[in-house]
Amino acid sequence: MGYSIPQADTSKADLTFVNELVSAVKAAAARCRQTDDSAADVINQLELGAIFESSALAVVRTVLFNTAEKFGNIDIDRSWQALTSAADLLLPTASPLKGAQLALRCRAGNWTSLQPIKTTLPLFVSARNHCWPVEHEDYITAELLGFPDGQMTNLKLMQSAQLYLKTKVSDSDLQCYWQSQTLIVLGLISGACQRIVDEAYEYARQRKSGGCVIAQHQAVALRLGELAVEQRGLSLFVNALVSEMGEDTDPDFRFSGATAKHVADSAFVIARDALQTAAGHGYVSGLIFKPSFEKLRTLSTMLIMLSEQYQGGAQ
Amino acid sequence: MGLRASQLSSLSFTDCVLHQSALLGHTGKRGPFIDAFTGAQNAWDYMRPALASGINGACLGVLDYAETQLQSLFGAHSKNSAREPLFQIERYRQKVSSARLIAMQAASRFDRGEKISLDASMAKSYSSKLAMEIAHMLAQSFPELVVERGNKIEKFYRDAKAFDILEGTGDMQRLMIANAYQPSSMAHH
Repeated sequence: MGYSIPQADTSKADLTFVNELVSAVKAAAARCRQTDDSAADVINQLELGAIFESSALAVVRTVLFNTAEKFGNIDIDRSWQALTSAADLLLPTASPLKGAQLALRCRAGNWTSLQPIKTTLPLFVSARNHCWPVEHEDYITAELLGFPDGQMTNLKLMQSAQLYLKTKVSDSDLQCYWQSQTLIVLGLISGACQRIVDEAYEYARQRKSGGCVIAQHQAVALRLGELAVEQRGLSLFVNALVSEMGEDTDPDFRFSGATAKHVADSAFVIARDALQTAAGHGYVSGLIFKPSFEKLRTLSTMLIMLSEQYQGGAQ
Repeated sequence: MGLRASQLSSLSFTDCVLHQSALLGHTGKRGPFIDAFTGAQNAWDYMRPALASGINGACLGVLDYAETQLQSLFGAHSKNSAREPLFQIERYRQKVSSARLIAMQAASRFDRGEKISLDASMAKSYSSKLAMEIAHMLAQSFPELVVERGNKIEKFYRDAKAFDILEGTGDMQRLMIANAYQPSSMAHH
């Protein structure tokens, strides 16, 4: 793609987690700084499972969301690759959902291959009410999401992705699973939107046109103002959603199709206007605007599909 | 426009002679009770979160009203034609939740004694823009009500435009935000 991932610097990451997890998170952050090549593996191996088992569920939710938000701010791709494997941290140890991935509904009857899947993790695929594990190098209909080649993160989630398992799982396990995925996606969206807004401001305050930086042109300044406000609204709303998740005390922040759509709409406006600010430069490799625009679209789509699974209703 | 309960009027001074000591800002110094602009900015910081909250309340009120109107029309419309307006109403309720959070965050910071010019502008501009979007959506969903004089949706449509102008137009708020905003992403530290 020619796009080089910016150097991720976590040296000043504000990992303000609850006290009991501070030491573990600091150790993980220290390992993240070692080399960029191993960053994804390091995130993968946060080694927080032992601590999570003794922590209250609300703490686990907060840490999962905050981790996704911090790392989504730095690098969506690597965060996604790493954190989806951490999604099952919310699940009880013996749950058969451990290690499972979001299932796909294939286009019925259409088995034209687009990309062979190479995976070592269990992947369940449903088509016409059947489900079976995908074997190594099986072919299914799928499209690339645009994430880097990796284990299953390059598969497009089809409409109404549902999880079908051969082994029956409890409703509470399923809710935990969907909730953890939702927390990760919400965190990535929030962190990535903050990043793209800041990049738009940095760009506009450096790029000159007509004798001055473009941030001083009224049309651009108005858009920048809109960006900041929209991002503030999105960030506060997402944080309220996460704090309410599982508590169900404030109906204004119950995760549903409408709330997912609101988050998706805000993310779209932010990504669109940030890319517009960079204009042609938004498509130059090395800048994050176009890749973030596409990835935020994908994350938003995932969020809406997750809302169809999450207790609280679908549209 | 609407807002008939708001006592707004214009003052003009013609041939009004004042001693120099009665002029704000005559010393060249800055401060809330020294120069007019700083005083006005302080007042705006105080009022804008409250104004935003008022706008948010008006938005919620008209959305509730619209929903009751829609439900009373169920007999005249099929469920399918009511589904889209109901979803839009619910969607805008979520946006009002965001608006409320921005306003409350600004108010909370003000109560802690922080400087909130940026937060206050964000609160007011977000709420007033949202009010216009809701007014437009309701106008499209309830065409017969938006032209009925005295109807809540008709009145809100006029009020919403005024919201975007008073206490600093939305455009001025956005320009102010663009000037004052500081990036906070970790990638930039």
